[in-house]
Amino acid sequence: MTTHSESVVERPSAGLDSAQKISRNLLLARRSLLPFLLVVELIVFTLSSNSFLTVGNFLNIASDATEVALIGAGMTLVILMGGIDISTGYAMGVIAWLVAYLNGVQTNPVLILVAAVAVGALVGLINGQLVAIFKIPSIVATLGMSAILQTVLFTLWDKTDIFSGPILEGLSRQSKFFGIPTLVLITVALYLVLYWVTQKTVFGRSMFAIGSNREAATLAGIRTNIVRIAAFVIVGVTVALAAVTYVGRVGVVQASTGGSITLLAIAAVVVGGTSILGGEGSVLRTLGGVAFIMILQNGVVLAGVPPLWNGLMIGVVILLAVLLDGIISRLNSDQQGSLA
Amino acid sequence: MMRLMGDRRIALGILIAIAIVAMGMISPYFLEAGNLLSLMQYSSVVGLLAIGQSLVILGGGGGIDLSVGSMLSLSSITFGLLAVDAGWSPWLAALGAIVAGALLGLFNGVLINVFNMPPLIVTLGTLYLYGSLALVLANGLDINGFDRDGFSILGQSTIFGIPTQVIFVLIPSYAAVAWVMSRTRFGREVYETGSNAIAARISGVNVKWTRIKLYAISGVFSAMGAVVTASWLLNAKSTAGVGQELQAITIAVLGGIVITGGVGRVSGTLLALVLVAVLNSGMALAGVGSTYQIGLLGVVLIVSVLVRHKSAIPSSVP
Amino acid sequence: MKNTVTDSNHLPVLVAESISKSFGVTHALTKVDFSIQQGERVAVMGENGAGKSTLMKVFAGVHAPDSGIMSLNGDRYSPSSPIDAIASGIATVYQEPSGFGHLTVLENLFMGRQETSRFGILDSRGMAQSGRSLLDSLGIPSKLLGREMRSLSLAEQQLVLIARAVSREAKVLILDEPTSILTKSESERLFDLVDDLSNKGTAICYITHRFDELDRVADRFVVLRDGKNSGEISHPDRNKILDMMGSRTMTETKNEPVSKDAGEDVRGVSDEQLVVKGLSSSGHFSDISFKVDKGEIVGLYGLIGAGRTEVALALFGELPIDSGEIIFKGELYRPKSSQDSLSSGIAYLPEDRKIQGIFQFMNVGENTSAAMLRSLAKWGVLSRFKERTIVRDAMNAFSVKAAGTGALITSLSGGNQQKVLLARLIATRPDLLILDEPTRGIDVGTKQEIHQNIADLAKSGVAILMISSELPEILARADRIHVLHEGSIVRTLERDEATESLILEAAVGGELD
Repeated sequence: MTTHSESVVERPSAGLDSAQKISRNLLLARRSLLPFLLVVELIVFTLSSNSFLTVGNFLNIASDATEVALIGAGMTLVILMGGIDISTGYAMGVIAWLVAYLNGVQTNPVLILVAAVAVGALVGLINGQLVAIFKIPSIVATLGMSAILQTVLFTLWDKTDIFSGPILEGLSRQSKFFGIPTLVLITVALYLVLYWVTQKTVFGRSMFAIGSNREAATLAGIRTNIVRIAAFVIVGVTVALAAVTYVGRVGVVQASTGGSITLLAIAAVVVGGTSILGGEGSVLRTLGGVAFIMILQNGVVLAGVPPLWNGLMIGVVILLAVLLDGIISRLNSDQQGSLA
Repeated sequence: MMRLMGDRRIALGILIAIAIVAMGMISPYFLEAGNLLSLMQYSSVVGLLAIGQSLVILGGGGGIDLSVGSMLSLSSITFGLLAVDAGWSPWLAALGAIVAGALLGLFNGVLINVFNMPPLIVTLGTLYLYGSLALVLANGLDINGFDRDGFSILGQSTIFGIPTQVIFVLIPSYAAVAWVMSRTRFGREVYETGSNAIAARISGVNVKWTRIKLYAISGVFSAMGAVVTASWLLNAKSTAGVGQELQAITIAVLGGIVITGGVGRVSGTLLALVLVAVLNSGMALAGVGSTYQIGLLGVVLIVSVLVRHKSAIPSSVP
Repeated sequence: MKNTVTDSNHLPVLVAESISKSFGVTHALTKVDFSIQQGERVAVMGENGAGKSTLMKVFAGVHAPDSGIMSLNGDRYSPSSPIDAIASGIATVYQEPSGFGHLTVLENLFMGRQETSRFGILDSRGMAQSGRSLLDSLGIPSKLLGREMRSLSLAEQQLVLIARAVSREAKVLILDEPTSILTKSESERLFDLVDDLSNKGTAICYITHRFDELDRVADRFVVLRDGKNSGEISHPDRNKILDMMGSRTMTETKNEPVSKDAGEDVRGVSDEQLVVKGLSSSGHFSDISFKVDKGEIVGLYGLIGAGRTEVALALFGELPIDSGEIIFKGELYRPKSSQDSLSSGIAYLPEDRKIQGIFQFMNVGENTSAAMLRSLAKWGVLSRFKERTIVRDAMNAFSVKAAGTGALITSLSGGNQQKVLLARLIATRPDLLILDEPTRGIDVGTKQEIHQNIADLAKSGVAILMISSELPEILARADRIHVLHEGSIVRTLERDEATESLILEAAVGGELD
């Protein structure tokens, strides 16, 4: 007769089930947080201002959200794999300056676009190498890059704001295509492309694998370094696109251009539900995050609340979102002994 | 660890010497008392933030504090409100600001260590949160009018040519922290926590609590930076701390604090502070704008980590 | 169900000759030979530390052997990395399944070698079909395909990983103690799957210590002992296998009973330092009862997964206890945390000194005084003098060989590092000392020194609970040995009645002959 004790050997045991249940409920809460907040937002702002719930207003929001949305899309990929890129803001500033300048000297719009993307990709390549090959933590590497790019922008700016129209007629704030602002169309197009890439290509799926379990991903034959660098390059490209639309939409580049975009993009990703702990997330969710944040900024102004309160609310929402993520991960890992 | 650190501090010392000579050659004004004075006044604030940052990183577990600048801003406003709106004596208000700073840091520490949230995102979130809170509370304005009870002595006078805030705040802070880290149980526990959190736990260290304290201390130093700034500039700005986190982190890393924790000494941070201050000052004299200093800092940060990566740190993992 | 090997399957797939591998002073493998044929199922057995895992890791490309040759299907085989090994056809499934938790089972099956149409686009439908047929062919429910990996039970995850290995046309499948996390019915399902695979030609290499499964599991049984071949048989003769497993290299003679004075038989209740009654922690161990008197050395033996370290952690306050009672120093004791335990007088020497023990960036002195900080400090300030004294005394007492207290801990040999850890704990003057594999990976000379230290400690009245996987160590040192199996104490042997075979038998869940 063996002393095989079913209750000892059997896993998961009863104690684990309840933890799993709580964790599943929290996951549900986490996933529904954003839609819930969006609904609350819409209700609150509709009630507090007459001019909120109009087509014109929403088109405005959508246009204004272009850069945050574009950069947020790329940022999702980086955060998905456990990294971050805070150099995006000033990178956009530098590229915007380049775009405005080239446009000012009558360069062919296609060439401008190519140049912009090239610079963006280059910045991304540098960031990616610092992180993946030189193993510098992404926060430190991109913090350094951000500082360098801020200086570069400042140098280029040289005390002169540079003004420019959109490089292409279609990229201005007002231009529409069948009634929808072209900027919105471009944004949506990018999201569809990235969504498709992350869901339908080997490359895209490997990003999720790396985010979920980097070691297993390496063992599975995935070239993790290359994929991680590629994610940074993609961010660079989205930054370039954002720079182009920014010039077309805002029309002026200054020394501070881009400074505030980084945090908004990261907030959009995090609030949208992509976790920096890895493996969990989606480009489309970031779009939801963008919507939330941009509606927030808009509604708050319309409601007459001093815009200074923006940061507060966004900060709180970021913390709340990550809090839930943290509790869920804690519950999942508490099932092992504490020295694990 | 002594052997590891020896290299870095000697290297920094040599670099400082070279930098001073170089800067002196670039501009004859460099060694002038006035210049050195403002150099020191400015470094006092950043130097305080760098202490807090060093401690947070030393504690390990991915510790980093991006919110130091915003904590400074918010503490600054708190100080202003207490000293002006509430009419407190500025010295008392300074104390109040420091308590506020501790609470802000405590909040960070608890979120990160009790709720398992990634330090990066949390302090990024509080960077936003605290910064906005500062703006909101001050209504976007600066606060003036607390030059009473001799408060300005702290920031605007000198003793033998050295600013009071250096003599009475900066140097004592570094000395105190250095002493605590090497001579007290808490300091030792911080190094243990950063070196091997599991081993620390089974040796009886309360890892979570230790790390929470480090974040609170970072908040305290941010607040101290705010008080010094207020006394020096005689106004409390809601944007006083913007961009300071880059400086604080760079100085800490340059000074030899390893980003994964457990390695580094605040004396290294102090040397790094001096080096950065010298470089900044030299650049300013050469007519190079302050934004360039930011770029330089970025380069220094990346190079510091690269160099550390290449140098041999004994690894416990085969 | 015995697998019948057909004639055409007599080709050896993997052959290893004279494989040796050392880690520092530990000779994990010494001139080990091994071969396995197509479709054959071989069980690799041995005590903890016999070298089974290391050998498999050499096959899997995790470790490069110091010497020896391997060949795969006749060709020279020397994988430069785990990826290399996988690409060559050697697949390994470890005890704790490690896949992509956030991804679906289907993705887990095909990650890294997805089916694609042109341009690298995933052919989801095609893969779903392949996935379904793969799972069907292995008897795994294909409805799992769409589920997130982390929502599956560990058993199911394991099956998925095996399916993944199979889909890569593995020539050799290595399973490392696969059933240690499975229930009986789950194990059966696994065995069916494995039988199927071997029928199809995959060679299966199976590390196990579960004697009750043997006949179900393999065609041939290879035993390793102390890193060397210890024989093999083709029928599961339990006694013969135990015989081959038992270690003969007892480098020390049985210890003098240090805890008893000659002639003293009566131990008073007041000598009981630790009494454990019915201790249970769900998922880890159940109904553990034993006691340790002052000056006694009580040994806990068991194979991997038996629950020994878990018991230790529970006593130390690092593992939650569901039921049972602990009486320490005559009073009811509820361990809350390591801090708590240390101040109550319980010290724990962790199993893995690298990961759980040493502060790799600090020096010898700092490592030694680490658990003593509270008593070295007055108003929070450490007394340099006291610290120096304690460290110096400790280093002398344990004859730690180091270039001085300021030397980095990592400059010390493994044995000396362990001594420092021991000294660290002893400095806290514990009443109960729990040692988890105190001499693992340590050279013979230092081993003996440490054993003497332990004996001296016992003599001075400290109660010692020693977890060990080394039979000679536990036989020589322990006054009483509790053998754990699957979370319960299955046998208790006093010093004079304890023998290797008795212990091993009990450890593998054995029937008593």
